[in-house]
Amino acid sequence: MTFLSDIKDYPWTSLLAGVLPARLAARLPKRFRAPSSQIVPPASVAGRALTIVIAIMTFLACLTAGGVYMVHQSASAWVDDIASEVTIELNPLETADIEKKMTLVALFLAKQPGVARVKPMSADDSAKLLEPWLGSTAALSALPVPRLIAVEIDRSEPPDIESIQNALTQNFEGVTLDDHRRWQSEIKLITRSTALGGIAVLALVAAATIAVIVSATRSAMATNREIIEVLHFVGANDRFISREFEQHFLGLGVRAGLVGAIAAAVTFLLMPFLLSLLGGGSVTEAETRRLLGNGELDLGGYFLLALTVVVVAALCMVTSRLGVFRVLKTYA
Amino acid sequence: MDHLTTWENVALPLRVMGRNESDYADDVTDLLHWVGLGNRIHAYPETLSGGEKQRAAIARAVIGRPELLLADEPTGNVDPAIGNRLLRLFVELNRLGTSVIIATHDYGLMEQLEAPRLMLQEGQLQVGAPQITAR
Repeated sequence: MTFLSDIKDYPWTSLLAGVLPARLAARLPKRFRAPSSQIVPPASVAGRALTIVIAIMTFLACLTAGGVYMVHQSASAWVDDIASEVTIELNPLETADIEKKMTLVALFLAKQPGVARVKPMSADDSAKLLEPWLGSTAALSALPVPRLIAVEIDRSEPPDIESIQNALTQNFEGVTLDDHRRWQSEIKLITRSTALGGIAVLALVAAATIAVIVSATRSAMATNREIIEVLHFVGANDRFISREFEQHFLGLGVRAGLVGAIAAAVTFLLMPFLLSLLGGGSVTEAETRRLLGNGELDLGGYFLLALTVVVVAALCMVTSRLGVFRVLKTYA
Repeated sequence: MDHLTTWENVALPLRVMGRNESDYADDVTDLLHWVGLGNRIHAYPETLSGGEKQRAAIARAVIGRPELLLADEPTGNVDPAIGNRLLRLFVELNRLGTSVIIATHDYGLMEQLEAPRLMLQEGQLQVGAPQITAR
């Protein structure tokens, strides 16, 4: 219950004054201003160096969170995409008239239940798919490139893939069906490893932030030792003293967090440009795009950045509170 | 505290108690006038004289209406007029329920009050009127 009464009694209206730089805070309407001068001088708590460190931490956390989110989004879009399709591959070596066979197989597939659309792909289409790897070359037409038929599945009543596969092998030679299951599991694996890596990075950033705040809290308390003594002398309890310190750390967290998150947002906005700058060849670019999509963060991603700021600010505040309690215990 | 004004320093105990500033603002100003710091309300401690600091400290000590007040030479650094005012302040506080213990060398001060006395003389604590012995 103390936590609830903490929230209720917190000087929320003067919080804005704690977050803004002193010059701007003085211009706020009276209701939002801190009632009197702050008991612990702000400058003795959050120096510029500390602000920069927290801003960088937030920036890294935002980049990680946004990056993992981006990979997750593009992977699930991709999985979604390939799950609604199967590909039929025709081996050209075992067929005299491949075009005729294509038509026959396509007609056969169209008759199967649960198939929404059948799209035979021309030899040019196949060549285009290979272009990022082999380049645009006339030699491709001389190669026995497999021909593909894309089959779109009706997702409301999906077909029995296995029976289609069996029917195909019974009726035609050199025809295979790929339901992309291997790809799906691989993409899921990649997404999962990226997420795990991201969480590890976030945990490290959080640990570093906590360490920095703990040490900053200690030095702020050492600097303001006299103030703490006077506060004890006039009857302040530990909760009051910790609140005086933590409001500065909350302000620091919000200020530095916003700077870091905005820097990360700008980075994400410039990402498509950066990707093409770093992309190098068309293969690298194709691979990067496959992993990151077009490199743009959607609304959910920006929400995640905002959430990161909230988490960083809360982390600063809670860490400093616990730090103050701990140091006060040693004073007693 | 050096970065707070006299007014803010004196109001500190009430702020620590979590009282609303609008509720006690006038009380603090009145008390500062009473101890003769009416014109030093917005001054910072480093610009106050020793006597002014002492009066500010007394004001800070009594603003929260404590149950017990220990005053060590409260009139040591102030002129007699202010000294008398402080004494009346202590009497008023006592009337409102605060126990006040004053340590002093000033016999004159003691003479003004009808209060129990404890004398410390040559290491002996005596209860009652001072026995002033000529050497």
